[in-house]
Amino acid sequence: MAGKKSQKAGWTRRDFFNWTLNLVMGVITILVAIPAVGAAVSPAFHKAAPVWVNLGAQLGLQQSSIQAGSGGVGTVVKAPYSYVEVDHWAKFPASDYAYLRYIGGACAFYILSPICTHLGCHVNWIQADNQFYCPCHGSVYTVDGLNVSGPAPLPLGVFRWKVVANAVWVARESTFTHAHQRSAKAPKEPCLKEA
Amino acid sequence: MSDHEHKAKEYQAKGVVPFWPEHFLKELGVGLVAVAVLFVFSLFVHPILGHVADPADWAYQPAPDWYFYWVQNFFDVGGHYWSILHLVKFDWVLMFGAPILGVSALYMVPFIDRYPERRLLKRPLMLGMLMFGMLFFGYFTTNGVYAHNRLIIREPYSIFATSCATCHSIKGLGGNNRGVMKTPTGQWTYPPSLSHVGSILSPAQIRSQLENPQDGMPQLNLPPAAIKDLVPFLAHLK
Amino acid sequence: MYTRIVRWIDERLMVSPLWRDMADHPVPAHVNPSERVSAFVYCFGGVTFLLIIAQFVTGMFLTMYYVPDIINSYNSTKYLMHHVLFGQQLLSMHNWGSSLIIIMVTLHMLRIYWMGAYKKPRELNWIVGVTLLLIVLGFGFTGYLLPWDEKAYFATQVGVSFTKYVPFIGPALLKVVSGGSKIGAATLTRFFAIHVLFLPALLIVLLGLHFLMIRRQGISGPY
Repeated sequence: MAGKKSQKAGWTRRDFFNWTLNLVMGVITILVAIPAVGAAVSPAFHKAAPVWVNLGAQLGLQQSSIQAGSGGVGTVVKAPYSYVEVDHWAKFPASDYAYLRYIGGACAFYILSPICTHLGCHVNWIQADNQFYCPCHGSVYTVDGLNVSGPAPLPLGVFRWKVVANAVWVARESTFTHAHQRSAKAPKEPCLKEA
Repeated sequence: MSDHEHKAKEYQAKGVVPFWPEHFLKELGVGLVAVAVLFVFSLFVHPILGHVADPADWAYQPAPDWYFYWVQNFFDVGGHYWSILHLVKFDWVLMFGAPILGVSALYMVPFIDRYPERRLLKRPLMLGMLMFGMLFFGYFTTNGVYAHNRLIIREPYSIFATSCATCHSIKGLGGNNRGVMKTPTGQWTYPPSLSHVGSILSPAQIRSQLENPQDGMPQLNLPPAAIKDLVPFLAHLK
Repeated sequence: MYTRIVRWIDERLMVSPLWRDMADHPVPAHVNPSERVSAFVYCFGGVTFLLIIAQFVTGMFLTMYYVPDIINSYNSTKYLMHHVLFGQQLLSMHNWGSSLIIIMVTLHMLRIYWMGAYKKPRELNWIVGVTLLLIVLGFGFTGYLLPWDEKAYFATQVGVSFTKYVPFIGPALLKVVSGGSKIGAATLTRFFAIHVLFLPALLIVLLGLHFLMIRRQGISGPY
């Protein structure tokens, strides 16, 4: 066999057929695999878009924050909202709240996510201490959302927000900007207001 | 003499039996026992369907199927020591490297075993590997079952699972091994394992720590009844 | 009449030589429990195969009631357990069957290991066997999520989190395995597909290879 092959240098008719066969099979495999594998790995390329939710009228939110505070300075108030939780094709009505504070000036609002960065419990705002407390494991956050005590690894998330038709809308996101990421650059609270 | 009888004689002389039906019947007999056991067992013992999944139920401590207990417990215990050794940056060595190493070793068994002998006693390396594997499986399974029974299934200990286990571990169950505890002075530290807390602190000291936490532990505001349950439980861990 | 029908079919299919080859192939005395009672250790592989067939059957009938969807999977499982004749038992058999298979596979492997039966020329069959073990464990892991109860959800969350430690592709792999950024609707359909289609297909192919190699290489021993 081997001797025969070495005598005949170059491609035999049989080699040609074998290689063509492999090539055709390969092409067929690739043609089927492209959509199949593509669909399977699709989640890796999926970027979750933020869900914009309506917190209510801008003026009302501003007034409630000022009324809860003292001396015309706004303080943290709960701003409840309802939205539709979308898990791919499944949709559920859901409700949640944000912690909103009127800070005046051009930025107007500083809006914090109530989700503790430790294990996802909702933190409580205790106005007497000017701090957030997590009821689960005692994490403590400042009024700006910086973690000061307890097991929380990160500050609270900060909502991006915008005004549409005199109503405040915030972006629910899977990955938040956290309070300290901005405060290092700017000494004041970050303004995440969008046009 | 028919063909069949001829063959039967030939097989008998060699001491072999045909696969069908002689051997298959015996194999199927053992199979019948297995299926009968399964049938009777499933008549009386039913799997438990828990509450519907609630992603917001963060305190839930899941138990895997029994044959995965050792996996879970190995990584719980391993992760704890990994963080004590300040190897959190190299998590992947433990979480990815260890399973790859284990599975590769299993695949490579025929190539590791170069002994010409087949008796296990004459293959000391293979005997050692078997013993190691069985001890490994046995230790982490019982450890995992212990941890789950102590912390989850028994009612008095569920308070531990919801109040303490998110930071502290017992025998590898629970615990936050990522060094995310922050002391008031701003230092990052690791919540200690409570596996042997009973031999370190007296019951009075445990009670005092629960009521007035020191060393960076947050005030949990536990109800007195919970503290009453927890103190003897923790003191018992020696 | 019966033999005539069989003959008529076989004239067209010509499978009887294949069947005779399988049926008549001699099984050595050392694996025959009636020759030596201790030979029952050779049965674990066969019992595993029988239990796998039982899992196929119970599993197929379970899908008559089960809905792989986060809103209905829990309720359909509950319905099966409480309102279907022998439904509870069908689910139990499938559930405990998986445990029994793990036990039998372990005993089978211990027998092979104990006897060094993976030695030349059976190395490749050991490799196929280890792959089969991983497939069986994969069945257990993917099946655990399907009832969509608390322990299913959180055990899966723990289980899939291991993929994020894979160097370089970890985070992307975690998303692919869980079908999104968290355990949800896409995870369930993914796990269902893997459990009832992907893994069975793989299992059948590898079992075929496993048995083919046993025929080609013979049963190891006696020692």
